[in-house]
Amino acid sequence: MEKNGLAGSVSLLVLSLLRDGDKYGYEMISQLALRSEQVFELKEGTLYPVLHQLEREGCLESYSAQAPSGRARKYYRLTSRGRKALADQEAAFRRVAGAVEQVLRRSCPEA
Amino acid sequence: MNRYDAARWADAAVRGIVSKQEQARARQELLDHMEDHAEALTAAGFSAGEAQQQAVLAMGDPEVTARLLRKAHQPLLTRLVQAARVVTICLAVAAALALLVSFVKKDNLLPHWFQGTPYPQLQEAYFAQPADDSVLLRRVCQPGASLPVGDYTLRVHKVALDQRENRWEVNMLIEMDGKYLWQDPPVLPEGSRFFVDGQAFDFGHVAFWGHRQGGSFYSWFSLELPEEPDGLTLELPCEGRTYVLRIDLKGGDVYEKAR
Repeated sequence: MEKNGLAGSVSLLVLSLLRDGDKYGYEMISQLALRSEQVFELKEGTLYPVLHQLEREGCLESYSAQAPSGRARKYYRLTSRGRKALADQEAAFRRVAGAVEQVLRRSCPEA
Repeated sequence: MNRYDAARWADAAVRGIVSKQEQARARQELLDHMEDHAEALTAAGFSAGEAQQQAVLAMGDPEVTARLLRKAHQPLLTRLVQAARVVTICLAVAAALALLVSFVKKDNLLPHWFQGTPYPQLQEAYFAQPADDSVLLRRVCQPGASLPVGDYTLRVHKVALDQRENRWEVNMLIEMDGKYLWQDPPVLPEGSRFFVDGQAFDFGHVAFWGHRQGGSFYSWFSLELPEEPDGLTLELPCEGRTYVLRIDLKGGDVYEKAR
């Protein structure tokens, strides 16, 4: 996956991953690769600055829970502000994606 | 550094976080992540050693993560200080520009009075309590009158009317003010006159003393009249036009000789 394709979209992807339930870091990475059919394969270390920034902005909150192995694991969940941010970013993305799609459709020669 | 050492990777990645507490929490979170990944790889059939290597490699460059974490964990106070620095620099630049503009175009920002009271000795002699016994009464007016004349502004600072035994003496301090410091204003435009009760006087025929200072020419005029005037009218020809300024001489501070 080209790095540029993810620029500016990582927070949207992270918020979207948390829409249907709380998750921990490695789980988000795995889900992202799975749902995107391996198109999005983030360098895993870069996930955490995004999570911490979103938490600082009040879009996420974290808590500690026990993993099956017995050690502590940090989970993240969406706040109400996070849900609003997700809705806004999703709407903006769909507008842009729709516009690109229209341009591409009109650029293609008639079949 | 051992490329596959999770602890060293985590140490490098959190180095930029200022708060020790936040640094420790972030470090543990990154280690937990690598352990989760290694566990998944082990469950998929990798050996423990290979799983750890792959888990660390998958994290990417720790310097990149360090830079991003430093930014995400920047303390509020640091941000405020940075913002304050930017604001201070902008204000300093604006102030410097304003000073430069005011220096070049002197009336823009500095009020005229700020540029200094002209000629303290002159003020003392003619516009304060008279020291001369022959002055029976002195009235000092500050008309505050000004008139744009071409590229200059004529300002009448003070007029003193001294009553003597059988005459009145009028002393007047005026200024031809140029807009810019480097201008060389004239004493008065050639052909300027003033009128008192309908009688015309040529400025050239009255005693005067002048001085250039900071783009202005200060002049002091003195003339004698048989009676106390109510007002003066100045006429200044300039570039084909005649500028007229009427100066009211009523009111003002009165100094009377003790009888």
